Amino acid sequence: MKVESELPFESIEEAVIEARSRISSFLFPRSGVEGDALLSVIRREWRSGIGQGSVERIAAIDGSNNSEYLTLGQVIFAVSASFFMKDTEPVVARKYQIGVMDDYHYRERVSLCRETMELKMALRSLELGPEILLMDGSFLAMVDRGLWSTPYGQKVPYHMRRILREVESTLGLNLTEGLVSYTHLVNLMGKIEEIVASVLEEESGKPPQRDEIRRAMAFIERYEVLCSLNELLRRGRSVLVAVAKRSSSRLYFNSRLPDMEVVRRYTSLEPGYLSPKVVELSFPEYSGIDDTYPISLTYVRLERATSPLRVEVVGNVDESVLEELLGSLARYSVRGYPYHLRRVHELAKIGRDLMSHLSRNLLIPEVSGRERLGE
Amino acid sequence: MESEVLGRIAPNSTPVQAEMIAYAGVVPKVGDYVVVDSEESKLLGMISNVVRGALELARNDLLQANYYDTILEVVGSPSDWLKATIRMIGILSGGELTGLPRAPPPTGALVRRAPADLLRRIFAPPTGREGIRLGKLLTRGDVTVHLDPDELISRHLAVLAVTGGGKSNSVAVILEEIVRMGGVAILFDVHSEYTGMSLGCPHCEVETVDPVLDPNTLTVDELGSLLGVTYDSAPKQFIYLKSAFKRAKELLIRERLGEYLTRAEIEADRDDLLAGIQAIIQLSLSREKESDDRFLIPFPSNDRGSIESLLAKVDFVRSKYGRVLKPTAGELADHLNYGKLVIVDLGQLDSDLTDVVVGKTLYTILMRAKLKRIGRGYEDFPTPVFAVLEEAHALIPSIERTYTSSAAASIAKEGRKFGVGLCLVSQRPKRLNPDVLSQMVNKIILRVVEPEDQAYVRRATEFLSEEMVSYLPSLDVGEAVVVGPMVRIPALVKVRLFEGKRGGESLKAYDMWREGLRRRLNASPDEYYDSIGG
Repeated sequence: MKVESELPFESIEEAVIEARSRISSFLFPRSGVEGDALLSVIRREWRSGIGQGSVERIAAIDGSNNSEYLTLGQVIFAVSASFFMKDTEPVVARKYQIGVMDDYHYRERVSLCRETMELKMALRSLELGPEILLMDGSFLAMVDRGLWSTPYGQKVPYHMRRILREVESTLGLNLTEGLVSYTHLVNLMGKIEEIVASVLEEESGKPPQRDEIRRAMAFIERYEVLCSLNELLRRGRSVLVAVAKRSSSRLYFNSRLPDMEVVRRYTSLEPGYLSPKVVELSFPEYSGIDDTYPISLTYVRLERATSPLRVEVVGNVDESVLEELLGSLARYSVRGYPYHLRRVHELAKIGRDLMSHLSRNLLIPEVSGRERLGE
Repeated sequence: MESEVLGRIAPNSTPVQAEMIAYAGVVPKVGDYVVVDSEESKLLGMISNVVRGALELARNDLLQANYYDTILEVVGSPSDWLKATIRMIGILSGGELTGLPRAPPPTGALVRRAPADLLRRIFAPPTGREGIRLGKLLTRGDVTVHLDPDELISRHLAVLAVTGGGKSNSVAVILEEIVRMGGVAILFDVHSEYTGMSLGCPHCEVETVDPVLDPNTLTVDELGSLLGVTYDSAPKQFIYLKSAFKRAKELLIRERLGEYLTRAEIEADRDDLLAGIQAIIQLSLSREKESDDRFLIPFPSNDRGSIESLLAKVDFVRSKYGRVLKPTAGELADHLNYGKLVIVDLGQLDSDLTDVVVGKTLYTILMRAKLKRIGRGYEDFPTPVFAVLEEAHALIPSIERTYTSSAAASIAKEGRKFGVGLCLVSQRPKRLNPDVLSQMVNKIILRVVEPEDQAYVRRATEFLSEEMVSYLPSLDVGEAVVVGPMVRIPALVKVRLFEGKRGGESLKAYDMWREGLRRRLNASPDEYYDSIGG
């Protein structure tokens, strides 16, 4: 048999024509059975119009992070968390954490540091008595990282429990305290690494590899996020609201399309929201945290012809409470987004310019490897 | 005492310009002077522009004011930022101004408001002399601005503004100060605005004179301008005019002009040169072929039309301007004296005669000042003279060459040497002859609205930045940008009010109508009809 008769030689046009109809029906299932089902759910659950809410003491928390290579194996990072509350006078707070780390999964670790700082800033700000405390993102997403939840995946070695206990007891740390991530504090980082190394050596009977220590440190960072989140949900459950601008969650409609895309496509341009769906937030088994929390999930369009937002309210709230809450957000929204969140975003923002400025101030030239090319 | 700190210098400054970031709560003002701390010295600068923004509102998608309402409700007052552009004026050394900096000020340098004492020293009169007290700095009511009279006379002046912008008041203030110092000034008052003007000081004298013109003192070129007969426009007529002019002059010297006037049956003084010219032309046209009178002009028959036309023009000018053309009336320049302002009331003249009167007088002043300077006579002629031309765009237009524009150009070029200073006052700078305007190195620019005028002023003025030009329409009455060597540094000035009495203030229509109505209602019907001539 000739090879030419077995192996295809397609043109890109042919491939596109063939794929187009399949892609189209996948992306736009409106006309099919799934589309009809989604439309009927939307018709049933979508509430048109949002009333005027009366909540005044609205606060918001957001964070930002950025990092840059200092040497070929280490990065400098900067993380911030900011707070804003409208009171008789606006209340503003901001905290930075700046440090260096090995480039082992550094992007994920810097993100964990930001989440920790946001959660700790939220915990500290509860004392100011906000009626609504807005957070950027999703509580559910913070606990559910799926396959990539820890540096070990879901199968966390048993000795990590011992490492956590040793760190907490030896250093007298409560990981939910303060405003920054403990493992990145320069004065504590070395001590924590020593504890980690000694436990790993005892468990394996030989000095641990550097990557093993890094992996355990990353796990502690992940654990710090979960502890802080649990503390926040426990203490602030009546005021906590998470707002996401983007989301690929499918929890609400369980459809092939993300929930946010369903709302965007199948609702009118007018303001409105979906009746809340209550889901349970539980912590992953490896964390050892047994607490669970009901989360009322909805999607809302705060202003005409703007993108919908994903909103999580901690607690099992009824529609009247939700409408009052969303009405209060709509009242202070600019281009369909709560202005408080926008304000804290601006306060927290860490851009490339700031990072370059930071490394210049440290008098350490940025290393990219391209210097040798004279670039 | 340390002066108020305004901000710090931002990156990318140059030796001539820098940007300043202001401290929170500080609002720099355009036209204000600042002192910049440089490495070795301090630099004096002027704020030429200020940009303001708010951090919370700096978004391009906030296209409805409702969004501003929402944001301001949440954050209260926005976080203002202000950035000012500073034009460098000079280096301060021991409180004195030296040349322009050669290096930019350092980034981050502190910028302070210039202390009032420093500005008072800069705007003080020249040491040991009086200055022309013009007004106060716009941004500093406690600093008086004086002009240097020497520089004013020798480098000339242009006063530019829209109608009602404060030109006449500024001119009156300057004239008042010059005359108070004992100066010599002449004002060509095109619209009879200054008639009845008086000055406050005891020795100050104001004389309003009618624009008489002694035809006997005119040159043939001046006479040609008056008649509308120039070599360029009507060469044949001009040649015959020159010929008649020469013969009439000779007859005048021989005291025989009356004889020809009688022969031509022209009623005029026996020493009226223009009437004599008319008589010669008239007799030349009617003489017999064989006449041998050498004072009559021979001409070929085909030139008869040209000569008749010239005769008609001379006759027309004599009848039209009879009350102005007065033989042996002397020159307007004869009226000049120290501590005196001569106002030439041109309101009654048309533009052609105005051109001749003004041009003739300017040439006479320049000529006498020259002769005095080189020791060829006119020792008693008072100099320096400051000559002010109102409505200069009409007398010295850009599109045509007038007699006045030639005279003004001569003074602009030579006046400095011989002590004749020129001041052009105009509301349409772009219609002014650019060559002449560019030599008016000193400028007082009040409100200018028309964009082409602004651009023109910008081109003709060295220090004036684009930003400052953009403020010209928003200047209030009497507020002026003052530039040139008569002030040591450019200034935004609130020109003081003229303290004497000046005619020609803005018409108070409402008051006049009310007063007229009151008089009519109070008058008996007979008085009323008498008053209106009924």
